[in-house]
Amino acid sequence: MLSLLPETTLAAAALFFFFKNLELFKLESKKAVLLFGLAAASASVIGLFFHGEFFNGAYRVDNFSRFFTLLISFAYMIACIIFTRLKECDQSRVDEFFFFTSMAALGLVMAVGSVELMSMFIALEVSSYPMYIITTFRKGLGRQFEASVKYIIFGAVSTALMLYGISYIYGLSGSTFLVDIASTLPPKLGNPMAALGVLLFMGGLGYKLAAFPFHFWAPDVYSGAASEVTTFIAALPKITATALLIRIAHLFTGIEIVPLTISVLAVLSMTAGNLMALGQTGLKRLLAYSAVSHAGFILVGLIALGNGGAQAAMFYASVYALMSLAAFMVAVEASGRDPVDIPIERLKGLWRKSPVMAVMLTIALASLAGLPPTAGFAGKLFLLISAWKAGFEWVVIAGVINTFIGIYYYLKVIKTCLVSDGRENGFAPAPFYLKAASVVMAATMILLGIFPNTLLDMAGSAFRALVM
Amino acid sequence: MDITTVTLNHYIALSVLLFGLGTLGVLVRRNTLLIFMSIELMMNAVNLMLVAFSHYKADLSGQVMVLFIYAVAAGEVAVGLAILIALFRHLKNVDINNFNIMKG
Amino acid sequence: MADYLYLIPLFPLIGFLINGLVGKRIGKPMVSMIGCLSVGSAFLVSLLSFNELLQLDPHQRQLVNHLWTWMSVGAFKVEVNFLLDQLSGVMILVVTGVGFLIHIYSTGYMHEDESYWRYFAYLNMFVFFMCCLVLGANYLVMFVGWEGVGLASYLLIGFWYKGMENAEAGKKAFIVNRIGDFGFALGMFLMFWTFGSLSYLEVFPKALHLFEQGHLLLNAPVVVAICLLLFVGATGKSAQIPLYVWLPDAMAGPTPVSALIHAATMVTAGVYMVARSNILYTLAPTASLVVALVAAATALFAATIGILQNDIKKVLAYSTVSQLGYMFIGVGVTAYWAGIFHLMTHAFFKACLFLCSGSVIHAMGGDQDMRNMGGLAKKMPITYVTMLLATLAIAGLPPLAGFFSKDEILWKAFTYPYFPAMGKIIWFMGTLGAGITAFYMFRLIFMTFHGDFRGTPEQAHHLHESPPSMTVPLIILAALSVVGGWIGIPHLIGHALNHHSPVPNLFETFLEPVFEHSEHIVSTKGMIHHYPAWLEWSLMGLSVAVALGGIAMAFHIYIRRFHELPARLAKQYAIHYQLVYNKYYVDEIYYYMFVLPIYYLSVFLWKVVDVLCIDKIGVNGPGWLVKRVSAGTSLIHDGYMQTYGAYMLLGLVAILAFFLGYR
Repeated sequence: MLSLLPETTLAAAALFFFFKNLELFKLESKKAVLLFGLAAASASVIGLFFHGEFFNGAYRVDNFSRFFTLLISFAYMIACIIFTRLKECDQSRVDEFFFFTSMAALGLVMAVGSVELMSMFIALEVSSYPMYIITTFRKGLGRQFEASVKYIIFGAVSTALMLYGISYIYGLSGSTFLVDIASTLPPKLGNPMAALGVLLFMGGLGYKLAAFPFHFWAPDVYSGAASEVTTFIAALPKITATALLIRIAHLFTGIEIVPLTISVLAVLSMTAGNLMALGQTGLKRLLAYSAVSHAGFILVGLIALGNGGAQAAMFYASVYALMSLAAFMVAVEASGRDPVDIPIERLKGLWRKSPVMAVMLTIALASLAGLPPTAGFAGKLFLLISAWKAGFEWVVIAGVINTFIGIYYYLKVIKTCLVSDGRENGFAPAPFYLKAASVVMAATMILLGIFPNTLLDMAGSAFRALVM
Repeated sequence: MDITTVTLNHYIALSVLLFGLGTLGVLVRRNTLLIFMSIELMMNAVNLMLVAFSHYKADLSGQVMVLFIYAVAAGEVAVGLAILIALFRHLKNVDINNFNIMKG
Repeated sequence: MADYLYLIPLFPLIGFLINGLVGKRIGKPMVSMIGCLSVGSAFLVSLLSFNELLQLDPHQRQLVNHLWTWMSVGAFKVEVNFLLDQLSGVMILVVTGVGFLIHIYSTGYMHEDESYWRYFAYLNMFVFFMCCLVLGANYLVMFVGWEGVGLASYLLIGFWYKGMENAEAGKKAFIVNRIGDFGFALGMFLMFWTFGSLSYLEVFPKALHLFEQGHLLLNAPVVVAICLLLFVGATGKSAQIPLYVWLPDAMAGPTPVSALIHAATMVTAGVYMVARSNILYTLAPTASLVVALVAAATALFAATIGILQNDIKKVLAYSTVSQLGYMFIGVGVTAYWAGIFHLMTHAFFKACLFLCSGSVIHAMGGDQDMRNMGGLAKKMPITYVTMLLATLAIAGLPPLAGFFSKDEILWKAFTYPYFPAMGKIIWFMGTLGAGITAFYMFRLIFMTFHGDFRGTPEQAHHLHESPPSMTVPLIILAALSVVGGWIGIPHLIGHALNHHSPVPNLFETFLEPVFEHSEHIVSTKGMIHHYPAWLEWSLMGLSVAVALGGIAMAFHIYIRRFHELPARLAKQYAIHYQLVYNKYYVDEIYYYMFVLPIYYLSVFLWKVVDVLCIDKIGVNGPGWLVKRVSAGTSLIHDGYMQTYGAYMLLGLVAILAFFLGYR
């Protein structure tokens, strides 16, 4: 049963908080969530060594799914550390909040292991509902309900589109198992129905990734939800979306039009995201648009899966999750007094009040911007090289231009947090474990930039498991 | 061809029609409740399609999927309605055009 | 063997970490000690390794320190290696040596600043990245340094962030450099695509091999493209036309920063990069010609603008742009060693000039306007003498450092083997620029140190010589500006000095192995003429005469006619107006023939080309455009759910159409 350990741990966490909510346990919730975060992360490490197949082959635990399980579980752990601060969330719903986040993480892990469209879909839904709900968990009368309604309608429509895609795929290939689809569907891709089916399904995943033109929900949900919630929404689903997109895109290797379409979307996504981020004054909104641009970069990896693209996309997804969590950790520290978004100005004086946080934010933003020698630089480099090798020079040029546009607004934020004009904004001093966590995260972002090979090799062997 | 024979293509056409109607509803209805209903219509188009395929391919898995989709759709509506009620308590109406404070 | 090269960047990195993390708590003396010691140790290690390099046979002089394999994806493999050869050896000594002096100077200059520790942290960070840039054994490590020094420079320009102007200057530097980096990055991709590697030790031999086998022709389009793209990066970092605009504004930062980053080291990175890629540039004569022409235009253009500036640091900034032009002329006309030679001498005298100006500004209580100075020579003798020496060096008077390096560049331009006719034009522009340089530099000296003091009484009362922590570096740098050129004495003079055993050109001989392949290609493919010795002598004489002419003109206008200054101050830009009513007829002729055209040219270049074209359109233009586009795209996000849905579905339909329509 060890091969399902990560899933079991997350399920146990969810169950625990479900019963905790009924006041069955005395353990303090914030301690418990830290414990479960740690447990999930360790379980995912153990899980790396056990493989297997479940539910008649619909659920496969192999190197590929376990790589992503590892990422999700570690992201979940970091998110749990951030959750202990709960600044904008309704304190009375703390157990519910932890229950829903554990459920969502469980759903994301399950989706990664699914190799059958229906179970993939259900796992994604299991992860989506909790996120729709926690979006409303904000103190006071902010815009959380508006955000949630936008999120759920967008999500439901995407779900419907995705299901419609599945029904076409099922109709044409007679099966929903990826193995069968791989042998029957690719030759039929000239058929408009098949094309529609595949595109609709990938569109549903694009919505999870917040890639253009499926990104419209992101800025409003990011800024309307409580910062802790945004932390979760911004990082974890992206990992799963990357995994599933690689799975699907891998079915169609060798068909010229697929990478071409993805490349167009990738460039549109990174450009649109960047341009819209330029003018933003709210921190979360800026990060939302920047997420759109990063989604574009992840898509670049899908262009040339075999040419190291998959590896690069997996590397970048993990790095992106880390950078995004780091940035939001600071956002959570800075939040708590604004009706909707956190104005970037709020970060003024962060350097003085909390140098550790300021350093981590600086590194995270430098990494998001793709400045060497951070992990973001290495990731972008791998992505662009894979595209260059696949003959998509124009994507590389667009990527380089976009990187340089992006640096502009990230540095603007860095600049703000280094400035102090005397009117200090009261940042409550962060507890020790948070500081320690931020030091570790900052160091990881630098180290992954200097020594990217370990993670890259892991991603490589994970991808080979998929190919075989 | 016998005019009374219902072929797979008829089902597909009906399903496309339903799906299109649902999409249109989502895009033009003002009332958020009706938008959710339109989404249900889209889901039902999917179900129709699956059942039809299942029948013509003599493969039962399509019909099993329909059951799953019903369950999922029910969950979705439950969550959606709950959020809608919470929203209604604050704004006293469910007109989607009122939800545009966040933009840019 | 060479496995300690990593120590050179490591020391400043440690300094940066300590000063950055705990600098605030440990107090100023400790911060300065850590700051200076870390760079000083880096300098010591550089000296040691340089010494080790000298022990080797000239053709084996390459120390490689392999650290780790940075990344390897399929065929793409990049190792983090440091390479010390003759070229990077010279550079690293300049960077750490001058850097060390400027750190010491900063302890005096920045003493009153409240963010003292932050300043030293940034400065150490800069030195760290600069060491990576110089020592890196492949283009990617160089790029890391390249971006890193840009970041440090950005942070230091905006160091006094309270002023809005500083923030603007930082932004400008930032945008302009991004354009350059874009070229550099694409050049790297193209290079990797062509040669399958980014390592110096693989790309250059491979290019050479392909060339010798006939697979790669001279002027092959792909090599020209690589060189031009890399040069776009160099124009950004090294402030050449059209991307030079950020450098004058970068003077908003503290003066020692201007000396270290914006004069002596970072801005010369582009020259170093071209010299490092010498084989590629030699294989692409067209690209070299572009480099040389852009450089000559910059050298003349920036010198002309320098005439009118009244801010002491702005004069030096334009002078830096102009001198960088000379370096690029050198590397453009395939005289790579001469470019590096000028880089080194320029580092000495320009750092000295900037530090002297810092000393003056310090004494003036922060005032940088030369119209408020005057007669400082009596109050600040050390600053005066050192600055005078450095000015003589930049003006190119023998036997100071600037003479040897600048003259060598001009001579090599004159004898440009690839395009002899173009070479003459470049030489002419360079010589003219040299005369103008002498003029505006002595204008600076005369306005600052001679005549009567024109500032406020408080300033007059405050005037004082700077503390030893500031004057000692000045003296060292001034001494280097005097003797620094003697290691590169031209063969002609070497022979003339001693017929039997000519004084050798140490510098050229030393760098020879790095450039020998290029020289071989040039000598077989270029048109080598043998010019008579008298021609070289007379050109040398001419350039000295031009420099003396410039000095004489400055003396004439700013010493002899200086009593008219008060009236001139009232009408800032009406020098000619005053002089028209001049009773000396000679002056008028003089004036109409030389001064007025140059004056109007200068005004035109500065106000129209510089401020309007490049600033308004070139720099602010993209920003404006981006903001427009951003506002437009924000309109799409109007907050209405159904608009979003419509866009999404529209997008889906478009994707489907693209998907099915393709083929």
